[in-house]
Amino acid sequence: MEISNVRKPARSGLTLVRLLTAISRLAVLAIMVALMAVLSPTFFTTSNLLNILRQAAPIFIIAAGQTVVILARGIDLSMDAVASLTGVVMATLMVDNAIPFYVAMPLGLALGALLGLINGLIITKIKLPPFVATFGTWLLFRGLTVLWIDGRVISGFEEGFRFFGSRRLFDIPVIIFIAMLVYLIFRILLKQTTFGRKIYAIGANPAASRVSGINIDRIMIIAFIISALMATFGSQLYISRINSAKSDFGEGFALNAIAATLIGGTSFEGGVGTIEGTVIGALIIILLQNAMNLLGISPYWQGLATGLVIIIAVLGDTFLKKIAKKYES
Amino acid sequence: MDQSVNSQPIIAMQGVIKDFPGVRALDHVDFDLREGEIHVLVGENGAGKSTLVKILAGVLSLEHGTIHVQGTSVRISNPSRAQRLGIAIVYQESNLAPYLTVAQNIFLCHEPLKLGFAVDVGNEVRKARELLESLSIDVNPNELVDNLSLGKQQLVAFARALSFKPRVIIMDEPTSSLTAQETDLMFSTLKKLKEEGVGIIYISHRLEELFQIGDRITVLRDGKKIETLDIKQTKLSTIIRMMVGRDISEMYPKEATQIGEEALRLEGVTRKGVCNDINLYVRKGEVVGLFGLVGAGRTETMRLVFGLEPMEAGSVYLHGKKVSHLSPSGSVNLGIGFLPEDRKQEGLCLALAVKENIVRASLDRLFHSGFVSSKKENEMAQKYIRELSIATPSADRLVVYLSGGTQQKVVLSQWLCAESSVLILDEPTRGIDVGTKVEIYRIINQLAKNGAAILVISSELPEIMGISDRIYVMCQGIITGELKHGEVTAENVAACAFGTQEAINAATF
Repeated sequence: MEISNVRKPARSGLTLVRLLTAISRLAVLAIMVALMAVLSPTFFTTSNLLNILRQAAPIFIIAAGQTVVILARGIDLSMDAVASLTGVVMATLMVDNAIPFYVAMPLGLALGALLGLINGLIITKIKLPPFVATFGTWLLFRGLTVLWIDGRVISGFEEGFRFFGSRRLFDIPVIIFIAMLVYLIFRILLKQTTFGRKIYAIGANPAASRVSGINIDRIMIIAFIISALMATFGSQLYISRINSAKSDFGEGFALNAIAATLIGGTSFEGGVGTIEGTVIGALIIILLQNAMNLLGISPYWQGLATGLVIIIAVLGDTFLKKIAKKYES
Repeated sequence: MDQSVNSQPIIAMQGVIKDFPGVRALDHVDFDLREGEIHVLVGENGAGKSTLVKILAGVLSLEHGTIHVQGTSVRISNPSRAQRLGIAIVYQESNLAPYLTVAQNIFLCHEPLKLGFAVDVGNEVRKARELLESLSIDVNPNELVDNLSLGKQQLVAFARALSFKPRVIIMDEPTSSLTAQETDLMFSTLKKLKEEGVGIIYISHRLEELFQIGDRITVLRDGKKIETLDIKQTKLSTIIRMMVGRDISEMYPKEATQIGEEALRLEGVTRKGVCNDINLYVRKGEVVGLFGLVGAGRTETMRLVFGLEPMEAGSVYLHGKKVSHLSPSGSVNLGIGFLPEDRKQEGLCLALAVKENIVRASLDRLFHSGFVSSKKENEMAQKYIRELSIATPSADRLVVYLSGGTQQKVVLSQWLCAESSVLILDEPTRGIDVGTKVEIYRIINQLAKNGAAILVISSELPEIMGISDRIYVMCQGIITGELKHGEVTAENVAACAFGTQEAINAATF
């Protein structure tokens, strides 16, 4: 093979760029932590750090579902409404009908799976773009929530249910353990299953994946069921923590999940990204809020800060990619 | 054309060099165009025809060489510069805006204005109508372009080019989507323009057309100019020999294989506007070529067979059994592999690693449990990297960073890994350097030797003659010939490809 050898690129420079791309988010997180440790005496306390992890956990759990969808070139805007509809249905079952949590939670998840299936079918069979389809179902599911609950606030859940979101194990909030478990499951799902491989392949090139015999419709439907399941599960943990559910509950879930995914380096064009990135993305979002609270900055600035971080993160990626390309050619 | 010999060149290009990464697309090419002549440009795919005219149109820049337009040295740095120099181009695929009207498209970016800034809509429509009528093009100027047939769109693109009142018109395979009447219409317009002194550069794969309208012909091969000839004194066979050029036996290391039983059979495969009643078969160990001109329907037909597009009538048999439901995933499961024409669009996940691309079609077969074993994945990848000499530093390298030929080997290895027993290869060597081409021919041979049934679609006549045991020729959606190994000559393959009139008439669309 003398004829079509690839040109040897400048390896060392490229390795550096690759390394930078891989660790850039971790570096940002580390810098934020270091900065806060200096600026605020209360930041580096066990209770504050655990608080950050506790708040980041549900965001990550929901974002894990969004990550799968975005990796496959989709997007799920309906997560808010899936969370609120499944949340209030489960809440009424438990409070009004006295159904125990170990029955009500799986019923909620089953409803979530059904809503995800609806999203998936609209996208693959009617062939609406994911943005449009899930925007539509977002409004639809929200409407159903309002009809179902009729302005009530449901509260007073049994102790077994409260365990997940608001109790501690070895002095550490249970929800942190749950998030770690979710991380492990999603890591295996994305890296070590054929389903994960197909998700990446579809995101990288749907046409080529089709030619390779991948059943794109089936994989996409499963992806949207996963994201709806994670929205449902996240909502159950939230309700467990705040001990109440009402119709506007769940607002911002989808946007936070998209933010964590994008800050975590998952490409909006699909095919590129990791679940570890999403963990860091969720942590950065909460750290930002926490830092502003500790520094006494008005919460009105928080949205602005998160927005800036998203733009900077995606810009940084694009920039590093350009440099990498230069080294290669 | 005695007077055209004496007239001065409108365009003179000298010593033009154009490099693309890894390949010299144009190598010291001289080319000139006289007033009132139709200068035909021919060559195989990748010979440099399109590159040459894109330089004149200001789409590509040249590395070396000079261009003179009517005696003045110029640099054509962008398309609007070309327009100001009076050079207009009509591409093979019209690039009109589908949701604008015909009139809006014709005058896009040079709309008639009133008060110096507002588009004079009435005037625009009136001028468009006049222009279309003067060209005898039967199209309503208020119609949306999206509603027109491809042929009509091509004529509108032609009208748009003429609306600039150019001195030079470049036609890049303009007739591939035209009907016979539309082609005649375009030819008579070209002849009229010629009499008015306009210079025309004409690219076409339909060699018979060239004799109808051409004055001079330039043959390009591998980026070099072979010859410029007066077309009236040139034979078709001479032109084909110049286009092909190479010593075929060296280029195509064809070996005899054991041909076994039938593996793939098409019966009456039909889809309106694509193909009609296609019957063919491929046996184990056999390499069958499917030749035809661009737009003959070869790719489209095989896409139906693989299940990428729905079929209207007909059936596909695999190893004697009828395939009940055609879909890409079903085809892959049955052991059919499909190497698409455009590897970047449909062949590869560029952003993923070599190994992920190699196992993509075999995920379910290799990993029954649904869990991927990295060890096994790496072993498979290493195996094919070794067997096909894929030039990559590692199996983890992203495919986007590999050269075109190496990328194509990755697509091929995907189907080797899937152990496909029937392979449909659509233009497997398009845009690949000569060395890697020969390697790919060797791989095809090896696969046939191992008993695979292989169908190769190609527009390169020498390639298809060099690698096939048998050749089917398609023209305008029907099979116009089947040639056994002994009967294959450039002339009779070409004759089938251009289609005898009777055969085309027999096809009902």
